[in-house]
Amino acid sequence: MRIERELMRGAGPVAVLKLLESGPKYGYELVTSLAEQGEGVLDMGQSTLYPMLYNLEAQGFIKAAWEEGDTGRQRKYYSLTPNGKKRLANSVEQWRALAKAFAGLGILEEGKKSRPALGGATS
Amino acid sequence: MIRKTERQTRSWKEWWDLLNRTPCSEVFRGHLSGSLPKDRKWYASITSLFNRSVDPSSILKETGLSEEVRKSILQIARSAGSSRRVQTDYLREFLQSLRLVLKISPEQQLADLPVELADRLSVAVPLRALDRLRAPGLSLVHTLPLELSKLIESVVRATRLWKREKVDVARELLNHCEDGLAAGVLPEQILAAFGDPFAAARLIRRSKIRQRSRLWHLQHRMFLGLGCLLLFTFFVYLWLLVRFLTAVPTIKRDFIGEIDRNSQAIPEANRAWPLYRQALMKLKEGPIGELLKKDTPLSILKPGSPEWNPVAIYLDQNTDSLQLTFAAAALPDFGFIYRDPANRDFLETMSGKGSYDIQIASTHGLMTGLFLLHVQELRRLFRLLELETIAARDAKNRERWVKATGAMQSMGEQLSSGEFIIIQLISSYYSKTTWRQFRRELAEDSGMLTDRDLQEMAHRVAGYAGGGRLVQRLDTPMFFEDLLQRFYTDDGHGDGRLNPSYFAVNAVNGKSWNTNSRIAGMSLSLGEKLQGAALSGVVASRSELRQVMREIELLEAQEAEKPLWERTVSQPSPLKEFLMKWHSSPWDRLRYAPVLKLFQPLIDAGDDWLASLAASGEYTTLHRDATLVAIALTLYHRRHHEWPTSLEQLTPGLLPAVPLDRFDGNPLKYKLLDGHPLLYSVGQNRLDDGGLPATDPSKGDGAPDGDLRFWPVD
Repeated sequence: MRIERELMRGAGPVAVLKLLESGPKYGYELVTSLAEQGEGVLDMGQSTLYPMLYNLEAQGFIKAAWEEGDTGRQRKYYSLTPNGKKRLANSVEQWRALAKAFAGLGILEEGKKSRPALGGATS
Repeated sequence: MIRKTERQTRSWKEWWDLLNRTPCSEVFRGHLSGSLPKDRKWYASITSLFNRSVDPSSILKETGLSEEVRKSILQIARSAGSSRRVQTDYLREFLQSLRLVLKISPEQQLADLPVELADRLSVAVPLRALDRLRAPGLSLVHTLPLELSKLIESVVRATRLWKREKVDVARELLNHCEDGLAAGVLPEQILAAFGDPFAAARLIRRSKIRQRSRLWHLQHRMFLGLGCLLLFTFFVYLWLLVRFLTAVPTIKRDFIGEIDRNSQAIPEANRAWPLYRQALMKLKEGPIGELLKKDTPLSILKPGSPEWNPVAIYLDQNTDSLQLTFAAAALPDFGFIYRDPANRDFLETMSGKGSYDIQIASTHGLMTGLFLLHVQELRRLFRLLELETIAARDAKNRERWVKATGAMQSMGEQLSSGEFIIIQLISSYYSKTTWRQFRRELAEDSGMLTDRDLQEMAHRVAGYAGGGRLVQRLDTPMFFEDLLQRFYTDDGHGDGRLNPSYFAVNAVNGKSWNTNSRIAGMSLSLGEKLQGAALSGVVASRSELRQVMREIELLEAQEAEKPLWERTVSQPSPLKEFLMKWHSSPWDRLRYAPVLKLFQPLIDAGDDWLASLAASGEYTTLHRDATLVAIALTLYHRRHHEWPTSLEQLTPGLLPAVPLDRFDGNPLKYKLLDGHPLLYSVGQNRLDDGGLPATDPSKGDGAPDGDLRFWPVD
C-alpha cells in the first residue's frame, strides 16, 4: 500500500534516520531496506530518497562521505550525527504518542505483535 | 593477453568491463588487441587529438569508421560547442572511449560498429566530462543501459546546480542504478521506480541548495531583495512615467485676459496708451537718443552748455510727440491692452518683425515671460518730458514747466495701479523723479511758481496712489497661481500632479508655445520625460505648494504692514528666506523644484531685491512726505520771509503733522545750515549724520552710508 505524499513527508525522514541508527548505509541500501522492512509501505524511488537525504544532510541530522565499497567502486555512505540521534529519539517519541492516541481512537489495533524495528534493532 | 577466441566470443559489454579492469599501461603494451603496433597506432591517434587546431572531421577520417558512424559522431562532437577547440576536446574524449572499445573487439570491423553504440557513448561522455575534473575514482565509461544514462544525464542537467554539486548527484544516481542492475533489477524497473525526473531535479536542486553555506544564502537573499527592490522601483517608475505623460493641465484663469478686460472696460476716450503709442511712433531719435536710452542723469545737461544743443534740436524735432504725450497724460487711465492688434505696428517698429507675435505668444504662456515693451519704451517719453522741464525752468516759463511736470506726475499716477510690481515701481520712479524736480525748483524758488501752483502741487503729491502710507505688496501670488495651473493638473479638489508643461516652459523667459501638455509631452526629450517621471514622484503636490505660498503671503503681508523702521532692509525677505531654506536642502530642492524654477533669478541674485521692492512703498512715502514738507517750507518762507526753526512751526497750517522719517520712526530731520534749510532722513544706516550725503549718492535710497538729503536737491 502506498501512503499519501504528505504522510510520507513526515514518515519518510524518520524511517531513514531509524535505518541509519544501525550504521552507515548508501542510497540503494536504504531503498531496499525501506522496501523490505517497511512492508512496501515506505517504498520510495530515487526522486524521493535523494532529495530527502540531501535535506536531512542540510539540517545536520546526517552526514555523508564517499568511501570505497566492496566492489571497489566509490559510494556515498550516510550516517547519523548526534543531532540526528536526538531528532530520531524525539520523532520516535512523537510517533509512539501518536500511535497510542490512534489506538485510543480505535484507528490502530491495540496489542498488535511488535515487529522487528527498522535497521535490525528491536524496539 | 587476450586470445583471439576470447575476442570473438565476448560481447561489447564484456569488453567494456574488461577495459575497466585493465590498467592503461597494459593497454599501451598491446595487451588489449594483442598487437603492439596497432595499440601504438591507436595511442598515437589519441595523442594527436591534443592538437586542438585539427578539424574534427579529419580526425574521424583516420579512424576508418563507416560514413554513417562518422556522421553520427561528428554531429555529437559539434553539439558540444561552436568552437573547434571544444569540439576537438569532446571528440578526443569520445574517440578515446571508442578506440578502446574497438581494440577489445577485433571481430567488430569498423564498418560493423553500430550507430547505437555511438549514441550510447554520446550520453556517457557528458557524464564522464563531469567526472573528469572532480571524481577520478569514477569509471571511465559507464555501462548503464542507454535509457538510464539519458535519464540521469537529463536529471542532472535539469538541476542547474553548480558543477561540483552536479558531479556529486550524478555519481550518486549512477551508483544507485548500477547497484540496482547488479542486484538483478531490470533497467525498466529502475526507470519506473525513479519517479518524475523533472520533479526529482527540482527537489534535488532545492535540497542541494539548502546545503550551501550560510554566506551564500545571505548573499542570495540580499541579491533577491535587491532584485525585488529594483523590480518594484521599476514598476513604480513606470507608473510614474505613465502618470506624468498623461497629465494634462487645466488653464482656468487667463490672467492677461482678465487684465485686458479691465482695460477694455475703460472708455476708449479715457485710455492714454493709444496716444502714447502715437507719440512713440512719431518720436525722432537723434544724437541725444542714445543718451536717453541709458540711465544718464539729465541733470548734467544744462541749458546754455554745448551739451544742450542736441537737446534743443531734439525737443524741437519732437514737438508732435510732446503734444501727444501731454494729451495722453491728461487722460485718467493708462489703458494698455496686451492682446490689442493695434499694437502690431508699434511693436514691430520698436523691436523688429515678428515681435508682435512673440508678444501675443508671451501673453498665453507663463506670465514670467511676459513682454513689457510698452513700459520700456514709455521711458523715452518720460525723459522727453524731463528735458522739457529743464528747458522750461531755464526759460522760467511757468506754463511750460507746470505742463511738463504735470505730465510727468500724471504718467506716474497712470502707472501706479499697474497690474505688475515692475510697473508700480516704474510709477514710483516717475513720481519720485517728478518730486525731485519740484524740490529743485522750490530750493531756488525763482518765483516762477505762484502760491496757488504750490498748493495744487501739494494736493497732487499728497494724493498720489490714494494718499496715506504706501504699502507695496508683491505680485508673486498671481505668478504663483499661474505657475500652479500650468505645471500641475487640477483634480477639481484643489490638488494635482506635475505635468510635462513643467519642462515645456522655459521659466527664465516664460516662452511656452503650447499649453496643451500632450503636445508638450511629445516634444519633450527622452531625458526630460524620464526626469519628469522621477520628479513627479517626489515633488510637492499642488495643494502643498499652495499651502506653502499662503504662508509666504501671510508673512509678506505682515512684513508689508510693518513700518520701515521696524524692518531691517538688509535682512532677507520672507519669500527669499523660504526659497533659500528650500535651496539649501537637496531634498527640498527636489520637492519644491517647480517654485524654485520660477524664482531662480531671486535665488541667484546676491541682493534680496524683493526685500528692496517690499520697502519701495516706504521709500516713496518718504519722498512724497519730504516733497510736501519742501512745499510747506517754501510757502512758509514766502509768508514770513524767513525759514522756520523747526518743522513743528509748519503745523497745523501748512502741514497736518510733521511727517516721520520712515527709516527711524522719528520726525523728518530739519535744520538750518548757514541760514538755509536742510531737510533729510537718516537713511539706511539709521544714524543721524547731520545731513552728510552718502559716499555714493547715485545709490539713492539704498545708499548704505550717509543721510538721504531731500532739500536742497543734490
